[in-house]
Amino acid sequence: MLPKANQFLPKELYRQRRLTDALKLWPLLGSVLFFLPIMWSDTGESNVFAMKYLFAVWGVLIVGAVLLNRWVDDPPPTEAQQLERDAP
Amino acid sequence: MTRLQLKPNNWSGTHRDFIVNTSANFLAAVSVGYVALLFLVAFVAEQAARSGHARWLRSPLVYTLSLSVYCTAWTFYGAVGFAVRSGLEYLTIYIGPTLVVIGYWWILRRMVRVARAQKITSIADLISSRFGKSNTLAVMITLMAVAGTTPYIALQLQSVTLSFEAFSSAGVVDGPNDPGHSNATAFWVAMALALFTVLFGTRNLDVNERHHGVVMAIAFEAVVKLLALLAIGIFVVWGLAGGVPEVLARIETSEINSWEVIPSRWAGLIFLSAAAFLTLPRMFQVLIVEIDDERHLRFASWAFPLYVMLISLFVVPIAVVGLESLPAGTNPDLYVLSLPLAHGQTSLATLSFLGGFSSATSMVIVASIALSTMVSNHIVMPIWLRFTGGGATVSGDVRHVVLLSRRLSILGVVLLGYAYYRISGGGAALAAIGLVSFAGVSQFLPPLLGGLFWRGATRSGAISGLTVGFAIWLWCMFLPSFGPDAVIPAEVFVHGPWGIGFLRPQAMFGFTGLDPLVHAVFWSVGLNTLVFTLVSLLSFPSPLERLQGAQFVNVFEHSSRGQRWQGSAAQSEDLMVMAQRILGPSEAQALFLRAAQGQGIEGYLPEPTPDFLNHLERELSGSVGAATAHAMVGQIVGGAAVSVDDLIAVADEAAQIMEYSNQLEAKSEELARTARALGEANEKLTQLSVQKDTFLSQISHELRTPMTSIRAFAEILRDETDVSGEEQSKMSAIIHSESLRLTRLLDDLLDLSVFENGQVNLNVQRGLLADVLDQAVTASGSGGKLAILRKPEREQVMLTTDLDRLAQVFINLISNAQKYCDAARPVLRIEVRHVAGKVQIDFVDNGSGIALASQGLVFEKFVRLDGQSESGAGLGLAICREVVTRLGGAISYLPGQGGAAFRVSLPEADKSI
Repeated sequence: MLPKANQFLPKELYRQRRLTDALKLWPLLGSVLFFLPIMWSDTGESNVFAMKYLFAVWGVLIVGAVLLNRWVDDPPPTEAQQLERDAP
Repeated sequence: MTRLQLKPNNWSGTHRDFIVNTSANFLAAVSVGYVALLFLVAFVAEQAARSGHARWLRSPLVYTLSLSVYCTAWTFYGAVGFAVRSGLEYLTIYIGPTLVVIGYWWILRRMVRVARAQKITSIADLISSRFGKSNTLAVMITLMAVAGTTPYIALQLQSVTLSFEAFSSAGVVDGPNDPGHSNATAFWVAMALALFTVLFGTRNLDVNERHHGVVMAIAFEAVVKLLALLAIGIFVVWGLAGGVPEVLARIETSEINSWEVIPSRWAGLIFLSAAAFLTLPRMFQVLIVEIDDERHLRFASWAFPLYVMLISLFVVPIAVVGLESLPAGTNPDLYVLSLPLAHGQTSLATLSFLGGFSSATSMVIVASIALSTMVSNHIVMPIWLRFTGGGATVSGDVRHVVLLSRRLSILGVVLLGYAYYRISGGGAALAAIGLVSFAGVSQFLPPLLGGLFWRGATRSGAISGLTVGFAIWLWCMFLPSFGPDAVIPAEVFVHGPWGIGFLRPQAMFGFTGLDPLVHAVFWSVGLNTLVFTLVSLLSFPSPLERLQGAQFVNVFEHSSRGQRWQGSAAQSEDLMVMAQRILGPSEAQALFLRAAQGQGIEGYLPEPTPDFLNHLERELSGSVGAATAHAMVGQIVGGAAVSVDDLIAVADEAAQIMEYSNQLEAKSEELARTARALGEANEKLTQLSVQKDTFLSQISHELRTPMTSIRAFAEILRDETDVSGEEQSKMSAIIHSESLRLTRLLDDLLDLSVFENGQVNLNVQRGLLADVLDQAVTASGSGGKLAILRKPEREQVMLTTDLDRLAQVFINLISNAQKYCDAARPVLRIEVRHVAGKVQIDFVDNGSGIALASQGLVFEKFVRLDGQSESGAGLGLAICREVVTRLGGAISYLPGQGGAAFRVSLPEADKSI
């Protein structure tokens, strides 16, 4: 059994963990925003507004993904990867 | 409509034919030229990859562009039609993949990692590998994938022919719709694509080497289609409409000005496109199999959404402007071609044609590679192996067989698409076929995600779920897609089969009013998931399934260890022969050489250790798929032996180590105890040895002293003549008493040896303890100094034992007290009590007792404690112990009684006697 990871991380590592969390949660936020138009079906919202909204969400998601992926470091190679690299 | 410059009735017949032929010939030339360019791109990329200095081939940008194979002709042409028909709903097709790619951390990363570790070649391979390398499952998924993809390939061929026709009929709205002509176009396009795919898609066998040529060509096509769509979009917005505000104004006043998307369709389509993005065979090929580096996902996670956003950006403007300006009968699926053509922009139209052509070709190429891998690995190879009898050990190069089967499969898949196109007549709206296909492959989603995240998922669950989902898809979506009365009679749509309203294809279980698409997706995927979960919960997986399950679900924690082959029976040479035939001689030899070196063995034949066999199986599975590779190694090695025990051994290695260390700890404690006991024994032995040495010198002295005096007096009696009679008798008396002393000593020794050898005969009688004690007190002559305290009323105990021997023991104990009690007024208490069926007789004096260090020794032979002398030979207590043991009792020293204390315990007399 691997020793349980330390519960209290140094600041740098803590920041990385939270950024990874953000990276994981980002598509969830995107889903919520993209599913929002469901509520317009009865209001007969203008398609121009809908387009603006949807493409804006898209743009924000893309910019967020760029930034998050830049900030999050590569995870250290796992044991499995290491084995694969070392394999003949 | 007034903008149309080419009016059919302006042209004479011959002129019209001339134009049509020219444009057709021109288009054919452009297509051929473009395909030649693709060949060139693929060829250059292959060359560059082979020479090894082409890092750009492995850049994340190329990877991202290759993902655009998602955008097929359906997307290129169909999106505008989709928008015309249902407004912004077309965006769902891109939103699903966008969310999946941005959320790569959840699923894609895991899939890539698993595929890497297990050398996965296709979606069928992934799922079958997860569920115990089951070929049944692989075959099922392959067949479903073929069924789901064939219409899609047909759709691509159709789109190419339609675009040809759009060009041809640009001058003639009701143009020369010669079916033979379109069929020929479709046929030749199919052949060219098959040729391209065979050339660049089956160059190598090991998927690790990847299809650089194909990927590069796909990336190139991705750029072409994006540029084409952007060019048309810019032309429409700034060329025709006059700018962004004008376009927005036109949208406001167009037919599709308001949001009329049905909520269930919006949600259902986003789900469907996300599911299809993960499960489409061609997407699996580019997303998972062709990826060079897991980190490319990071780049793709924003670049791919950007790509599809740009692709979809101008769709609505094109649709709106097309609706306004093109004649009413124009197919909205072809607006991207018709608009530039209607405005005389032939070069732009050609670019647009190439964009559509690119979308169609890249889809057909990648889909046929993916499907051919599946068909070849899971259907052709197993059958071939079975029919060639010896399977892996027959002679001949299997590589040729594998490659040939892949090539034939490619041809077969493309021809199947063509056949579907011919049979279906190419009538239905493009988007409908695309969604049918999406829903078909989405059936793989439950076993895929279940397999990746849930260790409890089983093969039976996957098979049952897929069967149910696929059946519902066929009934509710695929067959109805041909339209009422085509396959399913219109009657059945209304009343259900045989009048069973419950099974109406578009109102299963009586749920009417749902959108047919949402209805089919909901019931097929929903029941698929339900059955998959239920059967998984109820069934029990085989050991191999459990092993693979742990490896898939814990891919980020576990080291990549496969199941354990037992290689003892395997012949390395046979394995080598087989590997050479699949991997090729040089690769196989290199592999074996490295393995042998790794094991420290000279030459090419490593020991068939489980590790080596696992490694070999994985290498082979890169060429022929996991199930086939497993079967082939199994044929030579003689079956994989995975028992539940092995499984537990692998999975709970850590627990085992802990248990082992616990055992070690226990053992070491035990050892420590033994060592302590040994130390004590050793100490005792040392002490005894010292005592014995001391005693030996003493006993020699004991023997020598009487002997000396006997000899001396005997010599005097012999030699001296003038010895008086008085002196004579005195000397004789001394000789006599000394002889008695010697005799007594020898008697004791004899007694002891008799007891120790167990040769004693007991004279068992019944008698009262009091009598025996009386006898002993009398015999030991303790009238003088020693006071003896007794409690006669307690001594009335009947004993059945050798009374004389017992008296001997008591005498010994009493005389010991007489001799050694050093108190001023020595007192001996004799106490009798009954404890648990035993009689305890304690002899306690009031002397200084025996030192702690000597207590363990007093019952040993020849032991005489310090300060003792006189007649004792140190045998008394030893004899006592032997006697009491013989009598079935025990004698022990009782510490802490304020003096020397001995306890004799004897069994009570049997009451019945």
